[in-house]
Amino acid sequence: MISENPQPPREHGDDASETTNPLHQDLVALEDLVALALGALSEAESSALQARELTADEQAERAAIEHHLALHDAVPTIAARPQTWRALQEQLEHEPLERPALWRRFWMPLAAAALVMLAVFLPPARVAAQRLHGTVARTKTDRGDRFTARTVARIRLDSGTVLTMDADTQFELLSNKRLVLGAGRLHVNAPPHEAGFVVEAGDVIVETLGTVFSVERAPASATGGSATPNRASTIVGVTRGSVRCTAFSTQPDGADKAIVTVAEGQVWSASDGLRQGGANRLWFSRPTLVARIQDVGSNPSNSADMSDAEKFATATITVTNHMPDSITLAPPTGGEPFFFVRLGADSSLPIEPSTNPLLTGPRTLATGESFQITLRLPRSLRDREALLIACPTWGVTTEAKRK
Amino acid sequence: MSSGNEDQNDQELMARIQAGDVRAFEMLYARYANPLVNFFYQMCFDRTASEDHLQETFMRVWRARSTYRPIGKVSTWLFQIGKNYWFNEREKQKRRPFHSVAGGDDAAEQFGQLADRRGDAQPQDVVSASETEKAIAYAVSTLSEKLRVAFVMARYQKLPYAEISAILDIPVGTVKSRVALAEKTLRALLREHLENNNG
Repeated sequence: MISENPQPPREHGDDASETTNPLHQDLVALEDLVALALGALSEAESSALQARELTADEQAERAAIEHHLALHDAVPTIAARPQTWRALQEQLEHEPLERPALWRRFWMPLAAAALVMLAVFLPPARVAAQRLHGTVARTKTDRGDRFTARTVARIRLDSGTVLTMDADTQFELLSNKRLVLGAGRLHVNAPPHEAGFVVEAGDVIVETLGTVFSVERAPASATGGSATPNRASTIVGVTRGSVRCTAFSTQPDGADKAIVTVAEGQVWSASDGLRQGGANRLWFSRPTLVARIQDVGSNPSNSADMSDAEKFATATITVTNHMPDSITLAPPTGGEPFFFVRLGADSSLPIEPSTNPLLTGPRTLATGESFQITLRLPRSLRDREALLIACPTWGVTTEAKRK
Repeated sequence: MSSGNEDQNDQELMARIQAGDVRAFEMLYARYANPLVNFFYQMCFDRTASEDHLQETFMRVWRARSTYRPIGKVSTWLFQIGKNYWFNEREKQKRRPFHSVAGGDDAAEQFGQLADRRGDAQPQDVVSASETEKAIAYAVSTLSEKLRVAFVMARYQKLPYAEISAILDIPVGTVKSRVALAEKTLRALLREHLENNNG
């Protein structure tokens, strides 16, 4: 490795006559000298060399190596130009002479962090919601308010958005702009300035673009343990405007993620895709019922010579179609009772309408149209302040309160 | 880098700088601008970028002046700041989708532009880009970052191993082995270059 006659340190150009290529001459010397110090030494020798002080000869040898590594002033060098200092001076003029106190340097990030902490840990402000009709329970949750509709019910948020719920619909209202639909059917009428109202229905997110639309989500028990219960059970129909639906993927590779804009008159579900028409059929197919019990004493049919068993109270039920389309209400089939009064969790009393126009055949109600049914109630119920009346034929239940 | 007296002077300068003396800062700059700008230049062979790095390094020196403690050499502290800035910039460059990094495939291109970049230099700064110089510049640019920093500091900046050890925060033995490995790599590269030229 080490040449027999190591070359002494030479100045560049001294050995120009020995070979035709000066670079070659440099490298020959360089190779020998570097090998002497590095390449030819074993690890132990190298360690020993590093551990001790260099002798004068070795220092000279090292200097020679360095000299040759530099390859005769071939080290690329520059000098800092005056304009660099001038640029630095200009920068210094804008630099504060004293560093600001620690609190001044960090007050903005600290304030931002404090705001984030407040937002996270403070309970959310309760969203103002006005009940328009129907029976709906409202309970406080960690995130907002849970609404559970016992009947078809309607509420208006203070932002102007009107939410109509089918009976047994349950959702959690997180803000004026966001709700999570647990199960049931929900009709949203978001005014144009409320674009961006979001309904989360499992893995599907529906965002309004100033819209009237409905979302239906089957309860978890109805999906029979399907692998994709949320996506498969959510249906969206748009009556006016458009919505953007995002169905999050249920697969690791994200292959089935879908983002769809559902236009007016269209119905979309993750399982069936987009189809034209039928949006209105998503609306509640049943009318809303509003009932009142008339005062017993005012019933002209009761007379003094009647026994208590013969006397009866009455309740008037108003049936109104609040849906965008006309609906047809059919009479019960096979002589089954029309209405029940629920007396408790397990007991119901069948009642017959005293005047029943439905018995003569189906009746069609246009949007906004209503009619009344008078129910003949047992007199024993006359003192009740409220009665829960169910109509299995139409699948609705309404609470009748004493006038 | 500096003798004992110079270092004492450096310490005095730093004390004045810590008191906000811009004149002292200018004197420190005048003393260390060339070593630092050459360190950057020998790392990237780009004059404009080197002067930008120099400016930013001294700006950081000014901002960090209150953190300086007179327990080591001022030059070591300056090179530490310069080295940290260099490595940070390199990391930023690597994270960019279209970055230009010396070394690897880009090295040849940068090496090829070496002579052109020198066109920016003032007449007194111009060093003729001989074949030898180009060969070395190319070979150095292909070294890994760690080896290149150690090699440039030891061979070009001629900093003592102990000071390089303090700057890079690694043992002296590691500095020596990195420099040795860099030299070994350079030898192989230069031999190949020579053979190619002769061929």
